[in-house]
Amino acid sequence: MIPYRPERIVVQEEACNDATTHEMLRRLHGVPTSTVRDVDSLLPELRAASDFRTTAKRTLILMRNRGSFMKKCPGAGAEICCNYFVINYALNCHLECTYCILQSFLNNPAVIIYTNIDDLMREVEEKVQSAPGRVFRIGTGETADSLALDDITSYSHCLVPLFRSLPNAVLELKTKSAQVANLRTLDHGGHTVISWSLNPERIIRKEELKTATLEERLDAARQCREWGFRVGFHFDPLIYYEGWERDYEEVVHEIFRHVDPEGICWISLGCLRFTPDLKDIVRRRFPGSSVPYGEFVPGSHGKQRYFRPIRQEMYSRMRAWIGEHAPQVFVYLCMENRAVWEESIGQAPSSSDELAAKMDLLAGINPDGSSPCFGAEETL
Amino acid sequence: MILGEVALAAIDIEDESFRISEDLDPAAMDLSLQAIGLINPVMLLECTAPSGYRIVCGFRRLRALRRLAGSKVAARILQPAELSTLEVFLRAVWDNLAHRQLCPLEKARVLFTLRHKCAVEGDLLVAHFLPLLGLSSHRNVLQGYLALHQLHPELRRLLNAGHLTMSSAERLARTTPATQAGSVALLQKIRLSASLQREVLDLSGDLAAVTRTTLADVLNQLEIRSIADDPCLSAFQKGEQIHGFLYRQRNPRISRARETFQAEKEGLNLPGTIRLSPDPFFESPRLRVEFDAASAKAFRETVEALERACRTTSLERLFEIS
Repeated sequence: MIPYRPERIVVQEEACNDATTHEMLRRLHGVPTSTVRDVDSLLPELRAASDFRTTAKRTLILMRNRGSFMKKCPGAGAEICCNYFVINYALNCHLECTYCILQSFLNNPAVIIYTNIDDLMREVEEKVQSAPGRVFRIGTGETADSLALDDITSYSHCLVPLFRSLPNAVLELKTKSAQVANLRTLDHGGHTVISWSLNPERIIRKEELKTATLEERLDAARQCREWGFRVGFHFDPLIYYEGWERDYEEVVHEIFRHVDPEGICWISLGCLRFTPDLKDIVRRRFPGSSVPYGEFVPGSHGKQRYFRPIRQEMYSRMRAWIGEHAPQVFVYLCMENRAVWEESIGQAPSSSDELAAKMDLLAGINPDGSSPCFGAEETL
Repeated sequence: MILGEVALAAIDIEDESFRISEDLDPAAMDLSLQAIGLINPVMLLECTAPSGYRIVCGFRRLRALRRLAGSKVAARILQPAELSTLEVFLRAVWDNLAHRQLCPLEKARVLFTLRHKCAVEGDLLVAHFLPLLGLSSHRNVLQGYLALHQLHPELRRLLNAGHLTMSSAERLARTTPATQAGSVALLQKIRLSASLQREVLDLSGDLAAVTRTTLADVLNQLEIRSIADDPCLSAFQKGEQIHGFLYRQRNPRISRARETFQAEKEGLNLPGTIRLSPDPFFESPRLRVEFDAASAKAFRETVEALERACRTTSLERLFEIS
């Protein structure tokens, strides 16, 4: 992975005295820093260049989030959804995946890190504790990579211990980096899962430009297993191309060469999807990308997705390859309908709640808050 | 500025530095001059070699006067020492804006001249000149119009004639001159609605990217040329068939599924009163069956036809297409 090193830092006046701001400025010592009262006043400047989505990321903004940190995953509303929650500690990502939805989603194109991590933690704690009978699976990888900025933020040092203290919650740190050094000494108590988004090396080189290599990601996963973390893998997006079968089968093989099946919480599968305006952005920013040229059809939420037989073929073959290595590992589909589940996995959860309950158990969390249980002996 | 009479021979008619008008030779101009002569003097800029004057305002009037064998013209004459190139061109801009709406190609020419001949900065063009021309004040709009100025002459004609939409013209203008030239032959022969134009350009662009060729290469495939040259088809029919060909090429699996569906549907031998349609894009195996009947007899016949369809093998296959 190419680490994030901004060319300048702009600190919101309100965030100037936050301890996290000082910590991050110390870690980025030497980077020119200025302050601004209103972050929105930077927008015209940040959006001025014709390739502003690239240039603006050279600016790191440290600011407070005055809104809510914790939200339902945007997948909520799909016919079958795992009822996941996301917390947004940052906005944007420097890893430059060609297909990244953030390109068309974020108003401010700079990299933004929220400094009021105490507020974030308080909000998570309050929401989780207000519903002790329910389990919360919560990830930080929705609007930023969970670990790619951790050498700057060290937020893993705050979040992992927090979830250790929340009996009915599990944290998932989802990344395309190999930046796990901060996790080594943390007491997670079984309440944190470290997950990697995976693709064949060919796709990583062509479409995930600044991310860690496949080997680096899997080595990091093995390292996390040695430190006692359970891990997860997300094949999302699965990208269809001629010869995909050989490459993806190889990735599956590599997973089990690096990680014991018992340590794997779940593996998700989700085929590439994107909005029409993202297609134009990808074409302009990454002319060498082949991502926009699949056989797409309009799907839910206004997104394009592969024609159903293509998705089914990819899911069923992936499921079979995973099953050859570890039939006990739980495989689920993201943002898919019942017909696709049934055709490709063989069966579908009766409802989102059933899928969520299954995953809560796999996360090692019982709704009554009893001790984590490990292992996944069954598929749906 | 001097008001005087200038010999037509002393005016450099080829110098189009300050030209704005797209159509330089409207028939109405000749008729007007023949009927009542020149009402308003043209505006000229005095210069040295090769001739004595450059045209600032009055390109169409001067060309018409030449055609009508005129020898002299009333003119307001600007001295080059008095004004910068920008100040001279702004006189042409304001003169035009005062009495007519500029077409997109004329706006493109104004912006191109301001940017490249008068050295006006992009920010100023966006903030001041785009609104002046009735356009949205946005950088992308400026880029689109600057590109439009590079449009191939024949494509300009198609745009002016209303056969090419503004957005299609902008997209084509962003391609290389060779690609534009290579697309002209086809676009002259076919007609496409605005939405089909967009789709044809999308499909062609995607296929060009996948095959690492150009838009012109895609549009010049043998099959497409055959459709375009088919004398039995109207220009609109050609457009639709070419769109279909490109869609099948871009989306082979979806197209195959649709064709299979159609073939299996025919295997059911249903009367035309029964409409059978798949889930959009075969996203689920669900089928929609619709019929209407004007009498009990027609209703019974419809149900019987459906019962007969239940006994065909096509029925099973309809649910297995995707």
